Amino acid sequence: MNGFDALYAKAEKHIAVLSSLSSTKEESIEQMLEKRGIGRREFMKWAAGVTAMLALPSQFTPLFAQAAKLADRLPLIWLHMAECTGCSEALIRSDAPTVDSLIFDYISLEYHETLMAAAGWQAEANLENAMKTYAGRYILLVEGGVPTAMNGQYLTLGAHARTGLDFVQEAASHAAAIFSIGTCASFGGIQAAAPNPTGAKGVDKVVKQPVINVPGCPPSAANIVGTLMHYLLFGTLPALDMYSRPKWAYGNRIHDLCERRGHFDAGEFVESFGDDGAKEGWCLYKQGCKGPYTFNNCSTERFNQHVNWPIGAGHGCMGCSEPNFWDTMGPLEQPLQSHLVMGLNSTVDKIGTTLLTGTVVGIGAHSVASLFMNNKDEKES
Amino acid sequence: MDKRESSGVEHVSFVYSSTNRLLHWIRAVVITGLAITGFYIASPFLSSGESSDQLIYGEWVSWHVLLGFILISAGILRIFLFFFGKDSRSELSSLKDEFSLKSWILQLKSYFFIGELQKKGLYGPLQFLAYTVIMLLVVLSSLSGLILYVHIYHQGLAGLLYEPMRVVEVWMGGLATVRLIHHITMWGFLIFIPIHVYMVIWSAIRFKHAALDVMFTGYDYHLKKRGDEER
Ligand code: HEM
Ligand code: SF4
Ligand code: SF4
Repeated sequence: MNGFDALYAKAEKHIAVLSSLSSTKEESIEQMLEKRGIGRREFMKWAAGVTAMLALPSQFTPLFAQAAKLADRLPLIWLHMAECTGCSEALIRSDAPTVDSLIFDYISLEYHETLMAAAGWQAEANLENAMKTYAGRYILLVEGGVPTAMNGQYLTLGAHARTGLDFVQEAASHAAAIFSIGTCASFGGIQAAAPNPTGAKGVDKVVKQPVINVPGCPPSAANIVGTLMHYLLFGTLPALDMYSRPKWAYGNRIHDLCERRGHFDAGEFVESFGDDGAKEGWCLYKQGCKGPYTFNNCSTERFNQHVNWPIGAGHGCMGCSEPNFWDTMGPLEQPLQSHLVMGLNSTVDKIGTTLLTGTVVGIGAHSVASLFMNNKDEKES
Repeated sequence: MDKRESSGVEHVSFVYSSTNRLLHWIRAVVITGLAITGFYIASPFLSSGESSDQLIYGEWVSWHVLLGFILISAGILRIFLFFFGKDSRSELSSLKDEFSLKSWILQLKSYFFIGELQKKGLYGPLQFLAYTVIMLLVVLSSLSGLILYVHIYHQGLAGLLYEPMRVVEVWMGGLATVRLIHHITMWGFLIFIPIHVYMVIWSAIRFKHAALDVMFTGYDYHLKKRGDEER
């Protein structure tokens, strides 16, 4: 069997498994979409778009459409750790409900602190219940870094004041798949920025199970939904890069597909915000764009229904989907060599210039001293 | 003829093979070129400003990468010759000085005009350490340069190197850190070069042996010492 057929058979098999599971909802996803004014044509258009985004051949579109209609068979548990809820916001805020967000709202989201109605004791009971009922079947999505210092006491949740660390580890041990949504859950994020007093870490550092990272601050809705949909279609983890990021989304640098790249290669740079170059849409490299060091698909997927993205709006990429970006990518609006060296509070160029000056002064002093010493030497011989 | 003069030219030794001399000047030229083009890559100071069809930055990068590959080839060959070249014995015997506290003290003292420099191999211990560090710096800049390279070219060699280089990229702490490390190596060379040139000239005067010409002719000459006659 060639690669294509094998992949196709894998998807068909997983769809068969999904259809054998029962849905918890009264109406099907198809009926739900119909009711909200999304016809078959629009649904298929969306399915074709997501299939292409996942870098799958177009023959997979009907399969994917089938899988998407079975999305209500996958129970989801979404945990919030040390975070700002920006990732959830990125997913659910849109000018008009998209097919992504409608399906996401409708799927069997068993626990999500921002979206659920329950609170307090009831909420915690729901979580316990979901973990028990769907053990081994649910998908765990985590938003936020996990504080680990002082046994995780920096973050406690619920009426029993259990630590976030404890929650994540328990939820992970019964999950079918674990997704870290956003840079905080993937790499620790801003909580983990130096000196990281709470010992915040990415989820993959505190659980033993394999984790898929979907970093970004926030990640685009397309990347969150795409990762879910890929799992829905195949039931296995996608091809991952060295940082466990799905390759279909994080395989290229921002810089590789940036619309301003032509100006970069031509040496046409914005020298200050608002100058003529900025009006012409020139490259933002000298304004601190970190696109050359950042792996993500913002340059093609963009944000807010593909309307625009930071570089399109005239501000450089800040490298939000890279590990430790708070510490390695700063300062925000200056090129990388303006980065302050930890502990010395100075840039490498300043340190280099100081050392070079010291060297030249040292050479000068030594040569002057040599003049006097050598005189004696020469007279002697 | 004056007694002193005859003794001055008598003691001649062949220290660098023609390949080693050639490789030295290749490194000198190429590293200078890399520092200049690298500086432009970090802070582009020229812009065509007239047409987006003149890929000025792209051209600087391609020259930088071209020089980079010359440096990598020259570096690999030089490291090979250091261990397996015909004349590698005299270089390797400097290791004896490297691990001898006495040699270290002698060399450091001689730099401050106290006593003569005595060494068993070709280099003094401090000198040998400096050259080793510079060679490691060449390796580090080549490795970090290759990582940056596989992200701008994707076919052929770059395609082959892509996956292994991404492993090294993660070791180094991500692409941004790789770029910063690459930038710092430039400062290493910028500081080494003036010290290196000064020390070559200064020790030629101080210890009365050949200076820059060793790297052209391959021959070093120095005054006969009392020990030489006895041998
Ligand atoms: C003496 C050795 C070298 C020096 C001094 C040097 C210097 C530099 C500097 C200063 C930069 C800019 C980094 C920044 O933005 O801060 C740079 C970038 C770069 N260097 Fe080197 N480099 C050296 C060797 C190499 C080698 C051996 C290669 C391998 C092919 C290489 C490939 C590159 C590439 C691909 C870039 C990035 C260009 C881009 O992003 O468009 N360099 N180099
Ligand atoms: S704006 Fe940023 S990502 Fe785009 S070409 Fe310039 S440096 Fe690269
Ligand atoms: S453009 Fe850069 S900073 Fe902005 S979201 Fe994408 S990866 Fe993050």
